Amino acid sequence: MNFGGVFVFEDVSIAIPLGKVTACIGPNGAGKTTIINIVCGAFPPKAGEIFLDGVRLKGIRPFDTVRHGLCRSFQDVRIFPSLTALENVLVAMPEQRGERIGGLFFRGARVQERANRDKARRLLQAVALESAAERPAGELPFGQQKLLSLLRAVATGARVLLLDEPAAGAEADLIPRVVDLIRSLVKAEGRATFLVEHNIDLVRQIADRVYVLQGGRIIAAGDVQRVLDDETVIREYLGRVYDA
Amino acid sequence: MMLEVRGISVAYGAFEVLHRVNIVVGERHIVGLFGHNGAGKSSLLKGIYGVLQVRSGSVTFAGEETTNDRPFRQAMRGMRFVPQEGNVFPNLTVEDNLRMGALRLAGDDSVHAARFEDVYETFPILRERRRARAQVLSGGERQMLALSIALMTRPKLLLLDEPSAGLAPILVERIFETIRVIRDRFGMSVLLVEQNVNEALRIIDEVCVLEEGRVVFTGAASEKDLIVRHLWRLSNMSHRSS
Repeated sequence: MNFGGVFVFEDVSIAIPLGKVTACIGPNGAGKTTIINIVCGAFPPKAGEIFLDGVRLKGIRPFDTVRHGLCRSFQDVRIFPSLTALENVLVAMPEQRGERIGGLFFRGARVQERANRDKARRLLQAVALESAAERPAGELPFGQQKLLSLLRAVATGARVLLLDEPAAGAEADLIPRVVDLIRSLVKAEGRATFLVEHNIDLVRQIADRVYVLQGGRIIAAGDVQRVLDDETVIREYLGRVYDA
Repeated sequence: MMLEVRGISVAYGAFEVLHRVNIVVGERHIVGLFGHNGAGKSSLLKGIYGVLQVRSGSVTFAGEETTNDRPFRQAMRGMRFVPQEGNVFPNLTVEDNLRMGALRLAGDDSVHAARFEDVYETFPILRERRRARAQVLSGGERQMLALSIALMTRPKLLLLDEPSAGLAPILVERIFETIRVIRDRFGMSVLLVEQNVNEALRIIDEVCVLEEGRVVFTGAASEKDLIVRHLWRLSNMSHRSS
């Protein structure tokens, strides 16, 4: 992978199994976000392939990812600031009323719409954001906006979630909600999660396997504690020992 | 006193987020602003800088009242705000971003060159990437650039919103150390919003804890136990309500 004249990757292979959280850590500029961008088709890899459920993903475009069962979140918050928090979740959900022309005329679609609304409220409740449901999302504190964008990714029902630093900029009191959300709504439903994160406590709480990326190469991979004990990882990335 | 905030209130529409908040930042002091999500930490910085309108109360900066002055006026006076997002020009190169920060910098080319050198020395990765557009920087590199833009004019007061967000653990320590070094070298005051309480406490002189738009604790950073207990109580409260 070449990126603006800067060489990013060399021969990187990563597996993201269903029902597990696969984390990716590494220094700033290692290429962690770029992996998500490539999987979502923002730019094509120079060589190599991406498989989803054993089928080669080819020519997928970013707007089309959810239809393929993939959904990503962004490091910076990307929500609809003038829509309410509830509406933000609603538009992320599948089976929208306007999606098929028939849906505009038949009653069944109305029922579906009500069901979606109930589900969206339940999702907001799951992360204790119900009090913010009717407020414009752009007015919410940053940490809550971040949580909302994570919730939107979950609400799409995608089987593979690619999460880019869901904890960055979120206050410590929000981290347990991120953990709960990923455990109860993603892992328990057998969905696959790829988690890019610098918050080592979060990684330790939910990741099953960790890849450490540095300068476009994987320098370590394995279960969490083993990776955190790796001397190179401590020297290049952690800067200190994280005890079990 | 570098900054004196007296009884300010700030609201989004009818929703008041700060209720008569007082805070002072002494010369060469680093003040940490802590609190759980939605406490009003970022809103306080925005109110001080004139990004959000202050409904009541006053802001005095370096002896001059600046309540509700436009952000560019605050910047000209020597106050700089580094927000959490939208803090670089994505289409410009790293070098041009730094140049934007130095637009109002007086002096000849050698002054400019020295400032660039200072920044590159602090963040060597920015030297490597100086011709890259800011949009291709990683999240952490962007944070370093945002802080560096503000440093180009050597402000008297820095308002920092989560400088460590998105940084690798090894860099978190370094960014706080950098903030302390620039304070020592250039004698600036800093008002800092931060989640990384333990790391931040190493460089902070005083602490202010906000809860639902009100100041619930102010004191020296050495009263660490008290601060941590306050924050614990807050996070336990928010967890109970969820």
